[in-house]
Amino acid sequence: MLVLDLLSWWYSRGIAELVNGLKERLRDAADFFSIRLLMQNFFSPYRQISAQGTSSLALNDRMQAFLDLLISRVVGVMVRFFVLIVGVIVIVLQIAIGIILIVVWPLIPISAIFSVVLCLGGVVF
Amino acid sequence: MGKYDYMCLRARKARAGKILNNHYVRVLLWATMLLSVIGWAYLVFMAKSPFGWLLLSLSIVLLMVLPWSKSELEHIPLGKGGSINDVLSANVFTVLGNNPTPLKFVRNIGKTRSGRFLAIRFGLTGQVLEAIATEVPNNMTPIFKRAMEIRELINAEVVSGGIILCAIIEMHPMSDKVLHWLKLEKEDLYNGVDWYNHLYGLVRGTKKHIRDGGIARDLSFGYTPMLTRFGQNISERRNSFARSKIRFMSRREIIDKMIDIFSKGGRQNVTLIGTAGVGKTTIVKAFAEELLDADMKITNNLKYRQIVMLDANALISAAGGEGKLERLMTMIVNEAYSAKNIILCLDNAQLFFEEGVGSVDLSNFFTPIIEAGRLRMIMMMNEQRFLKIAANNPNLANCLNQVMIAPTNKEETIRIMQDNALEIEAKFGVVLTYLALKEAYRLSERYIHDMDMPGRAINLLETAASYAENGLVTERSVRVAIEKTKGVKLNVSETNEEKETLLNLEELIHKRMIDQEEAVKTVSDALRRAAAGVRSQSRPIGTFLFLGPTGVGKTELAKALAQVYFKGEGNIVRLDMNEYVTEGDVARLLADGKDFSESLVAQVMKKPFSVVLLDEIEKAHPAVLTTLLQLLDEGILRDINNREVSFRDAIVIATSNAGADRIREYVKNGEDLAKMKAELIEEIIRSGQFKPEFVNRFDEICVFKPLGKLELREIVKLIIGSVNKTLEPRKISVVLDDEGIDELVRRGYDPMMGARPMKRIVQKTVENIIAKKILGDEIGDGAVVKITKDMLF
Repeated sequence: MLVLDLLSWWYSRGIAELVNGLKERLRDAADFFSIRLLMQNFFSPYRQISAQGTSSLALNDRMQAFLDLLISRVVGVMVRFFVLIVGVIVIVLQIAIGIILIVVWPLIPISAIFSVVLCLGGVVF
Repeated sequence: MGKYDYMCLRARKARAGKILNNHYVRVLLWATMLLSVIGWAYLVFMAKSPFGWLLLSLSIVLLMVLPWSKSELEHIPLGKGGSINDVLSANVFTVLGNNPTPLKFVRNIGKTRSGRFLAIRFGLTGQVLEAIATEVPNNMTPIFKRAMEIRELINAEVVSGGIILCAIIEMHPMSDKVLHWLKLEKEDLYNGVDWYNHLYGLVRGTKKHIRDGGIARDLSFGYTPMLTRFGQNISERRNSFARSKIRFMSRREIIDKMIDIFSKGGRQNVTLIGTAGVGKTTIVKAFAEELLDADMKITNNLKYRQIVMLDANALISAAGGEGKLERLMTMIVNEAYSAKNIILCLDNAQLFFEEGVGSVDLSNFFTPIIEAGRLRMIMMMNEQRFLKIAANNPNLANCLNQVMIAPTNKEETIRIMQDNALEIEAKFGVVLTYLALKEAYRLSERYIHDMDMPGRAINLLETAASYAENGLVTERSVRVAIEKTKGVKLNVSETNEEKETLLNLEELIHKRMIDQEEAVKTVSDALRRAAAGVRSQSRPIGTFLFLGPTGVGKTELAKALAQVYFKGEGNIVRLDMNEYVTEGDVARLLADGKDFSESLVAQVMKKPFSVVLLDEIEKAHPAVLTTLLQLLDEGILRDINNREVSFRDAIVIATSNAGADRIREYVKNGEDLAKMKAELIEEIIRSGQFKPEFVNRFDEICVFKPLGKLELREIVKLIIGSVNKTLEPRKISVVLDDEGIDELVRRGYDPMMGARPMKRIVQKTVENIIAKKILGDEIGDGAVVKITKDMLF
């Protein structure tokens, strides 16, 4: 009875929980690496440094402020790009592992039976 | 309903789950699985034995069992049928044997989490439970039926051990009596089950990972070194679980309103207005938690914003002057604005808008910032302060988005206390009982006036934790906490000394006052009723109107009561009502202690367990008397801030000379005062000195008769006794012979003034004689001074 329940769980709630768990882990990873935020603010100035600009009308000052802001944005893009790349690699790895798990999961009970068959067949390497 | 089936699938899964989810068993399973894999590799690849495949098969089965037991066997899904087997919790299945009985169940109650929780919180000891269970019919079927009904009633997911315990108590042939004995209602037990379910949910919730934006969240926002120095980032403090405490519609609506204000255009400020203790800070913390939760449905311009609470004291002490302070504030505000993710929070906002000790008026600085509405701000203050600020600076008040926070009601407060229970228990190492929570609500409502609900009940509960008995905070702990902190007396007299005092109250009072038997007996009876717990809890202990001429002992009786029962004359709140002769004096009567510490309400707030003596009440303005009606009727007065002040632990005594002439006349004509009392009162009412509704509010009206020469003789002896008490340190004693006493009575007797002149006469004569003798070295320590009539001249 319990064995049947185990098998029934394996192919119904078990696989659903596996998929849900995978989804949650992907969401966690995306959140941990702030993927959405990084994409939304990709070109924003880093830490708002020089984001205020200047109230001066002098061309020199305005050029200087523009340059500062530009540098701030470039630094921001670089930092964000680095974090984004690491995050994407982790997420891709998780997806790959997840797909493998989803494919292997239904085969696990069958492989238990298959192992017994191999034993009965006297297979050795 | 279906019969309980020990062998049903859910029961078997529960028992299997209990074994497989045991920590040691799981370690064993993992170890076996790994060893099997190693064994398979060895046998198949090295030893060339096909039996290795059996080990691999075993390890695969174990690999399947491990997640299955953690998921399916720990949280067994409900069955689809309507039987008890479909809804019993896994925990209960493991406790119930093949043939369960109520007695067997209560003996194993400790093995079910909710049953153990309920038993501890309601003080149900093993003996009590066994006594209840032995009286219940030895059949679980009706108990299961009732348990399923309770489950539906309280909307619980499963029939837990706690629910079965409720059902067992309800199935007792005399369940009403049992509940009465436990001081509980059925609903209290259901609340207990709900309390457990909620806490269990909270604990499970803490295991859930909260997505808060991740490592690069703040890259687009500015640095905030000044805010870090002068403020506290409450968004960073994740473990307050404030959000879990916001489970009422009234509080949820406030947070939604805050989200709404900050999400839309318009002035970006929220002013939370509510008395201390209503939970303003908790609401802000919960709001902060929601902003940092990626799963919350809030607009992007509000997501991941952080709330920084400014520290007024740190700012003022760092600035050292108003000009400097404004410069510092400018830097802080600029920093908050530039950072783009900061919501400034001013707790006790009045500290920034009023000049005073520890506060500074920065209204002129903040008003344009708030008017411009570009910097997000949250301000917290109470209603009085807000009205004051609004009166001083209407422009500022008009710019504020006010959100009023009302105190929680009883049900909400008890639930909030339940939510706070885990924190209090962890902090003080105690366990809170359900009755302690109820008692904390009741007593804090009555005795704690400087805060509102739920804060005052939680505060009392924390204080009570220091008076826990054997680690349990019971209703008694709460009472003791109030007794110790407020100086009131709540528990029915328990010690022999107290009982003795109460039984001999008249005798003890007469040690310091003469005669007036009726009045003494009346007040003594009132005190005995109070001490035995047989008086109305919604009125003062006693309210008395003492009528009689001057110097007959009216005030003395009040003092004697304070001395004997209220443990000292210090516990007397005395008001000379001839100082309350105008209508405007009502305000002084009800004034806030901060403005006028001698006001009636302020004094009673400080000393709720006392004698309230309203001397010469007939001289008070009628408006003052009207104000006192509620006090006499319900034992409550509202102060100028509309705070309820309880007089329910006080004896209220009003004294009056009204009808003094008539009393003397009755006595002169040899009339019995007790019989003439009704006529006397009628006459006083007819004369317009008191309105009938005022007189009728008193529990008793005591008529004090004028003192005759015989009583005055006794009074002289009492006064000489007090002189001797004064001389006690030098062991000098004064003895006055009978003729001497008669002489003092002759000189001090004044039918109009009663015993009042007597003390003065004794001072002039006896005390002067002793003083001269001491200074002239005629007597030394330990001397006995005999005073005769001749010496008094």
